[in-house]
Amino acid sequence: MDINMGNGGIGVPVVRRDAMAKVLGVAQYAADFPHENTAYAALTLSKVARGRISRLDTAAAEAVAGVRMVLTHRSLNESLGDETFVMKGGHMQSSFLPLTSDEIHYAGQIVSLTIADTLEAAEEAARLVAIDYAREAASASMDDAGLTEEPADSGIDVGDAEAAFAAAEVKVDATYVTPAQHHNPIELYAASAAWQDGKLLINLPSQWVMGTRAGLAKVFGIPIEDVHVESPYVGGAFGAKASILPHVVLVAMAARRLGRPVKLVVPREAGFTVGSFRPAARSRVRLAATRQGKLTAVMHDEVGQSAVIDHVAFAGMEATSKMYASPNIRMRAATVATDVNSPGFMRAPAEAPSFFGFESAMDELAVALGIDPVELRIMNEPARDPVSGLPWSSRLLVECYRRGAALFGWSDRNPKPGSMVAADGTLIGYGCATATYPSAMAPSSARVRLSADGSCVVYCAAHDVGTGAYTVLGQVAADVLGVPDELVTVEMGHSRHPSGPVSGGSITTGSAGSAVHMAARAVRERLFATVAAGQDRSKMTLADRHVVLPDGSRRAISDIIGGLPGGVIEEHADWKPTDMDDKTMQQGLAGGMAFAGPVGGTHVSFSFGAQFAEVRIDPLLRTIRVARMVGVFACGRIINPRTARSNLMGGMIWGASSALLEESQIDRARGRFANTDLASYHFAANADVGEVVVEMLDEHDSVVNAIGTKAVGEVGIVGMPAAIANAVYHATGVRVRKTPILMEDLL
Amino acid sequence: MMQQPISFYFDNRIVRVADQPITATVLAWLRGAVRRTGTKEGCAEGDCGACTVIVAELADEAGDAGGIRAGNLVLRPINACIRFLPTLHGKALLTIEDLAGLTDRALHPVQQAMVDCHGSQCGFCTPGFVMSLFATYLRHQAAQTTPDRAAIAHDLAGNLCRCTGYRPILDAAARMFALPPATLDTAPIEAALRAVAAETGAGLSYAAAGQAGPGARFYAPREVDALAAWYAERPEATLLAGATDIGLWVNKRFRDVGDLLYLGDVAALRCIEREGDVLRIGAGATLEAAWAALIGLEPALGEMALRFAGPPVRHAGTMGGNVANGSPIGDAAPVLMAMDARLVLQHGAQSREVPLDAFYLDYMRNDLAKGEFLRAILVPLPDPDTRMRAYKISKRFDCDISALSCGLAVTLEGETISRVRLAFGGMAATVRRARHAEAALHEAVWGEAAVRAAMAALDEDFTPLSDLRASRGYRRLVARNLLWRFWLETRSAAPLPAASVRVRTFAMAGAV
Repeated sequence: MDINMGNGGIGVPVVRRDAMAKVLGVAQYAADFPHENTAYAALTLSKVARGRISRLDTAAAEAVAGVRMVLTHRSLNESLGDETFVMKGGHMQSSFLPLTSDEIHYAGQIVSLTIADTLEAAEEAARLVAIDYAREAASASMDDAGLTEEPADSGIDVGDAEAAFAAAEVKVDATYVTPAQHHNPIELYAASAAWQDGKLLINLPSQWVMGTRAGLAKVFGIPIEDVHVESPYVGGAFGAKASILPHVVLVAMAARRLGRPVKLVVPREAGFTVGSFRPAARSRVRLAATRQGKLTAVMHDEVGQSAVIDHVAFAGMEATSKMYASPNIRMRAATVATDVNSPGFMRAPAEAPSFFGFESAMDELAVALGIDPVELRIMNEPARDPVSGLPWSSRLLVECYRRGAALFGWSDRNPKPGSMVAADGTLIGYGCATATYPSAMAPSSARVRLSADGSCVVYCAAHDVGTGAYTVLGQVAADVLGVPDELVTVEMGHSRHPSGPVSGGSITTGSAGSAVHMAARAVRERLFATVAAGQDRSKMTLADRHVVLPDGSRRAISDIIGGLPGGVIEEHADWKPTDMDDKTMQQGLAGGMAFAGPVGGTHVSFSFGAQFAEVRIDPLLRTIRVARMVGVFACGRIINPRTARSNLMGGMIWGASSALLEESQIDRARGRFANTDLASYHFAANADVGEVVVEMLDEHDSVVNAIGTKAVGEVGIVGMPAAIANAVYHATGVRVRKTPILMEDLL
Repeated sequence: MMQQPISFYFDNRIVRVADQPITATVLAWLRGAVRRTGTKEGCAEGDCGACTVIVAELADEAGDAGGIRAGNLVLRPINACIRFLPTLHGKALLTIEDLAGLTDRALHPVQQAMVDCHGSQCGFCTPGFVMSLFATYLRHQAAQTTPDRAAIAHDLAGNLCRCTGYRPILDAAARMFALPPATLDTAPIEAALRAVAAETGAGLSYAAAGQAGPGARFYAPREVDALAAWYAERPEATLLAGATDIGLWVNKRFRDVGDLLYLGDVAALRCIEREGDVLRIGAGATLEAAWAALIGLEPALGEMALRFAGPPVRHAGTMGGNVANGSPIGDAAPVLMAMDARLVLQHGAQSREVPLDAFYLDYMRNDLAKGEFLRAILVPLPDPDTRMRAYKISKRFDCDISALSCGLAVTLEGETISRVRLAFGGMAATVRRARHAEAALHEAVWGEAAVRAAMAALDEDFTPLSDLRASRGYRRLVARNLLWRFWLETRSAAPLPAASVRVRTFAMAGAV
């Protein structure tokens, strides 16, 4: 094969190790796993948004040939362990488990699960489940009348922002709105469950196999080691698969009752309500500055849509409060409860909506001041976190802006809106915005095995949701052990492996990577100890499958390990983030949600980026096209420039999608999502994407973790919507304070 | 007609299927019955392309152009999720699992390029992209050409990816031609398809084993007369062509479509030919073939053809289906109406002609009688003095339903308009002509004053609705502005170059 595999190690653009299986079509996703004698499940969903089931008749469904079970709130009478919502310390996507009562809390709620010998029979029967509802008025939109805001946190206060704002010479006070959105990975939700000797094996696409294992053990009241969660390949996740979706519990329950494996693939339209989504949000941003452009007050009030069944806030002010130097800062978050399925994490859950408003407001301030938007940001660069006063573990935002501006050609920008016009009349706009994302860490375990032939296996219950973790974690081990990358195998995505963290919050490389690093170092130490007891190990190195001794002589790994019992060296490591206590670490390793950072005891760690967009707007049709995007990022050490670049680029395209296309529209009369298919829930097709340039600065962060990496997976989306909105303003003079920005917003 | 199993070439042999319901999809059969799980389900309605497979048939049986030629085969990328299995009878099915076998290396060049260029991240859309690229590879291999970036983007318009941002996949498409080539040996496939054709006789009549009665029968005749007679006797049956609509009725609306009468195997219906001063597009001709023929008459239609739908839909769906199903936002009808197209409708042995602009009676209602079917679309060859444009406005550039679309044409004698057709979709309950605006232009001088008058008159023609795709205000404004744009592009003095409005051209030019 003529793949250039490189030599492995850190910083090398190694080709993905899972790519071959994927291009051949042999990578097995959850829906692809065969089980003998599988029964198939189909869902029936509520047609109303709120009320009760007043009549339920399953006779016709049960009469369909091949139907084995129709699970409804009447027939689900098992006692289940009390597992809770993921945002309250549990693992469930929602506090509410469908079929546990006759209440309807949101449209599209699961009201029955039908199981049959064939999928066709299950689907037919699911349509024949007859239900009448006692319907009550519902509000699925936070804009409906009569809804009240509730404070979601105690806020952030530095100085006296209200007073400083009132006294300021130049100010901006504007409100920005972002819609509900759905992750819509191309892979559908799916689950298949099989019980054997009281043990549960479940195949599902998961960003958190350890959490899923712990949660299902609790739900079913069985020992944690009797649950096996398998998720070797995940067809995109973006936060959608980071908790246990209710249907997974129902499928496992049905399989236990039937004594037979049960498989469910959730149709695209049902995916809008059986899982979570990004809730709508409204940000009021107030900025005040001196005439010279120094910020004197930064205020950000965000109201987010939550659910009646789960009050949950995703406001991003922890990040916006840290963006710029200001002596006065005031941040408040609130929520409005609506009759929807529980909102959840979606790529940069807090930051993406918040930064659309915040960075649009910065642009408005730049306009009000007559200062270049890039310069305004640079002149307000904070030396330390303006909230905690702590130093940054690393922060190269200014360098990102300087490099990005040069790459983009920002100096060509005429600041006057509508002044840049192509020969054919097309309006051209340039915009920029800041991106950031917290670099949090979670405890992780890993095991590394080195064999006499130089091959190396890394085991960790982390996940590759498309990000490249299979490749990157192997590179960390290859780097420590001096073995070529093609001799490294990485096993992930199964709960039998050493505990790995949730693949959320852009933490996998830093957390699981640190654990792999630690385990690989332990392997190396044993190797050194074996080859030359008593010698100075700090002067020994590993290269090209040889140990290099202090005197320069070389000993082949094959000789050293070949002589050991079993012919391998294998080490396990439990890695704990700095600033985390042992108890929290143990909770994390046992499948609990345990995060450290981004504000630690001594430092504050964020990834940063400067993002630029050029839009082209047809003056007659108002169609908006993103011609170019440039993103320059500082994310600490980059293990694999190829995978990192692609994540950042994918994030930027998410940002462009968000700016111009993505919205889960709400049918307010019926209280439900209206565009529940890929024909009408728009995300970017390839023609929607123009030129994309991504650069990563060479940033060294010795504080954040053992390998110096910061968050990569989500930061790419964060600044893009505002950069595009700012470019639209620059092209047209029209300030659109909502996404998606539609053609008709420019009428 | 004799009952037969569905026979097609798959996995290097002829397979015979007798147990599947007539609306079983190719995707369900692949993933369920034969456990070929490389082909993925992402939407089950032809939106995402994760299920893209290749269907091949004998070129001399295929009846229309528009597919990809290899040997004596015509190959087409299609969405397996909305393709009914019985329509594969007499054809070959190639899936992602077949590719590596076409080379003595570990990977086909398409696959190798995707690996090299990081074209696969989460990997779920990957098999679909690989199969679309495989179609691109075959087409250019046969023609000994290499596509430019814009052509690659056109070929991938029917595949959605949520991870990569598409750039690496476009890179892979360029790289695959630089790798050691792999050739599809079509001989065994052709031999197998000839054998099936020989035993099929006058057509396929299929019902799943043990199934009988209404809704159990799939009938695929090979002659028009047989089709017409069968349909006249059973007008309650559903006429099936590319299934890009009907697949959704079944998958998403769970509609009982009754017996299926498939017109895709009637070669005479798939013909596109010039008859005197008319282009005759058989009702079964694919969108791909029909648009190519229309572009041959009017090159300005190229952009509309590309944006009509992605390749897997264009290679499966038919222009006849798009016209006959008659959605108010169908994109073919405005173009055809601007070209004065007529429809040939047939019932039993009787046929009649109806002007397209008289065909649509009301929302989703047309002039077809029970048991009558669309046989052909007749398009008069345009007068050389005709200036024509078609525009499609949608939120997303590709793979999106129009907010509005239009076909606009003026024929000039000198600078005076002797004929004018302004047909709009998305502005009313049916696609229809803007008669008031046309009147404002008729016999006027093709100039700014007349265009302004026509723009104003559009308000009398249409009272568009606000819906999820666009507001009434936007539709009104943009319909007027499209008229203005039409004039800018077609005026005699200093016309705006068309390239400047083809935004994809510009986006691609800027890509690196």
